[in-house]
Amino acid sequence: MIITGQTTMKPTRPYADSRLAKFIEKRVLELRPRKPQNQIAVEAGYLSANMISMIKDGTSKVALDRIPALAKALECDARLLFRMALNQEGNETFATAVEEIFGTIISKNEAAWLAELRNASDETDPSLTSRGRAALRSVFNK
Amino acid sequence: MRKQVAGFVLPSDDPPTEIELAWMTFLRIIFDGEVPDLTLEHVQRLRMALLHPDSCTQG
Repeated sequence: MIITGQTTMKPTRPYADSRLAKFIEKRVLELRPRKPQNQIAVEAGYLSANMISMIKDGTSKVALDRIPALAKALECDARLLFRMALNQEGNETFATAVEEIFGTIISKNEAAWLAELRNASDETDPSLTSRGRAALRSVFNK
Repeated sequence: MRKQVAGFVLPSDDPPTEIELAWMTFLRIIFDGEVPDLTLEHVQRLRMALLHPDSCTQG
């Protein structure tokens, strides 16, 4: 919210910098060759196809109860999308409650990596040392 | 002993440990929040980093 003198103006694109908005924009672009944006909107259950545009440009946020259908429409992991949606502005207290009750939300991909970590370490629960961090960065060129 | 913490569970209904969550957090940092599909190449690199950390960071 921007306060200037006596007037209070709401930002026109309050969610523009959210990871969710950027992710949805990317997925819509990736799907474009075989699935147009209006079809994604219909599959996600939005009455207006314009809603996807509003989410992408940060004008509108994604309702949490819309995540399962939107994830199907975008052909992505609902847990990843839900985590991003929780981090939208205005969801702070809800996000804290979810984390307190359920813990960190783990996406399907992350679960696969953890399963492989267990497998590769023979379930020894290896500590993440500075050497391990350096090695991991090195093998992934990061 | 593995100390497991509450969390949205892995497919095997086996919650991650605190140390595993630290690994996962680090993976999120490396991949800028979006951990990719686990490919065979990733598996090989992960094993290399886990089993031979020194050889990964030399040179």
